Amino acid sequence: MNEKEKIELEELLSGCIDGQLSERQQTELRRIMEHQPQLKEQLKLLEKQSWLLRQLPVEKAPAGLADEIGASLQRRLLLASSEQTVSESRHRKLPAIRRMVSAAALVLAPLALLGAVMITILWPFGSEPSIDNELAGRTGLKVVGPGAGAADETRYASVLPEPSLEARLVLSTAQPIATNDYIEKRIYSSGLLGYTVSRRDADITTYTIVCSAEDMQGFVGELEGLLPHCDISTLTVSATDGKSARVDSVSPEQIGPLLEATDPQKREELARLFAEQNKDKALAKESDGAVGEKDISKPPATQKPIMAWDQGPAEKDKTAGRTVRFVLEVRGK
Amino acid sequence: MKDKAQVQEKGYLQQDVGIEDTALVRRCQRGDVDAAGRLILKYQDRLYNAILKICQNRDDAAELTQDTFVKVLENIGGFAGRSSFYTWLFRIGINLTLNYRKRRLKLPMRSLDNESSFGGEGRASPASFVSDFGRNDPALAAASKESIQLVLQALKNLEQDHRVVLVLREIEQMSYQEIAEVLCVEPGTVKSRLSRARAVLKDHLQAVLL
Repeated sequence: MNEKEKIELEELLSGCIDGQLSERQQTELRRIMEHQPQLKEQLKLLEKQSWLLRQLPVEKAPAGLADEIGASLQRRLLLASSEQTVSESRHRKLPAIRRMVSAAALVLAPLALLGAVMITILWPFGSEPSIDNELAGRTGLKVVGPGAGAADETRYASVLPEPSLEARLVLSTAQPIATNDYIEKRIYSSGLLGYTVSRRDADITTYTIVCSAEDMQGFVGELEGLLPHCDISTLTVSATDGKSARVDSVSPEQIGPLLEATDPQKREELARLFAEQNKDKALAKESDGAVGEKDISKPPATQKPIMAWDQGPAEKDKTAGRTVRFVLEVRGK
Repeated sequence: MKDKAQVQEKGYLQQDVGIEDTALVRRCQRGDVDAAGRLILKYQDRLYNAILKICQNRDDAAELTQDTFVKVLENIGGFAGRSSFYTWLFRIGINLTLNYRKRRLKLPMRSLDNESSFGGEGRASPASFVSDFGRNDPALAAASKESIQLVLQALKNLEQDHRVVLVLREIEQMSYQEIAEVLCVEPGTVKSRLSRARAVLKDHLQAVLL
């Protein structure tokens, strides 16, 4: 038997093991076996080998992998503007950090679940919108899906006090998963879980937060690392008197004063000023030929690590004093 | 030889899984974090197990599984559905593993042989339900625990291409077409590579098989 015939025979035997032979090939193999009975033994050995391979134990992925993936996506989103993203090899040399993030996630998950249970106990509204996913349980955020209908929204809205101001921040991003994950974690770490209603429609996720202006300031500050990585960040502030102001390419430092301003005229002036500033910045970048390029000279601000022990449902009432409604709209590109 | 009905049943199952995946992928593309979590939970064990069998190191397999999902979720917006999500995921996972192994070729490989849990009380592969070989041979079934270490060693000694194709076929139970999609080769190449891999492994496993 020459090499070619040997290879053809190997392929016939292998195909036979996998049940991949045509009628014609099966007949051919039977014919060959009649002349070479030792092939039957070979076929048996191959079957035995195949069986042995299938007896190898199935190993489960390490616990907390999903959380680590979420954390990794966030890190990459935040480091997107940095020239030197952490290389895979270097990343592997930092098992301590990986374990620390993993440990934090492990502590965070039960706390989030506990928070969700407490909210359910404090505000029993009958049937809850279903969150049938383990990750949803991680944050405990109320997600009102497209099928939930207006009743759910009304029900949650009735819990939240009527605000004196509404701010809508529209974000457009190519990485909606990481962005939503980032926002959900910041809502949780700011202790605003019980003051937030989330809704997901088509490719838009909306977070409606009603809390005191002071607490909102803290939350907005947490968005510092996110906004520079969004393609569009437009803020519209509307007061009960119906007057509204809009700022494109808004930064977190600009959102704060706009939420703080109680005088509509002052708010309008501020919005105009910020809008002009942002326009000037865009023009300056354009004249420098730097439009569309990322500033790699300065790495993004380091985020406050999410520590399990300094977060969780806050005891203080976050709707005391002047309240604002902040609607955060995330659009996938 | 495999029962046609079982193969058909597996095909139907995969079709159902495919439909569910399509819906989850669409939700992911809209930025749904929950859908991303579902896809991770659904495939993390299978992907980790396959990568572990190829790279034979738990830490590396965990990191590579994580890197695969991160890459998949970062690029899911561009996933057009020309192949199934399952094969796309495995293509990325296997490519990352092979590239990583190439970079580490000069470093000594830490074998799983010394890790006691591997040969311990692991779950039997779902594939064992398809194969009827062991059921008819109690002696072989009893000897299998000792054989596992030898099989792992033999698998480790194979060329990388051979090991990958065997893991995808025998452990992950992919069809020839799926393996071809994952490895970006023709089904004919899968067929020949698989038969060669089996022949070489058979030589390495003489002591166990005879």
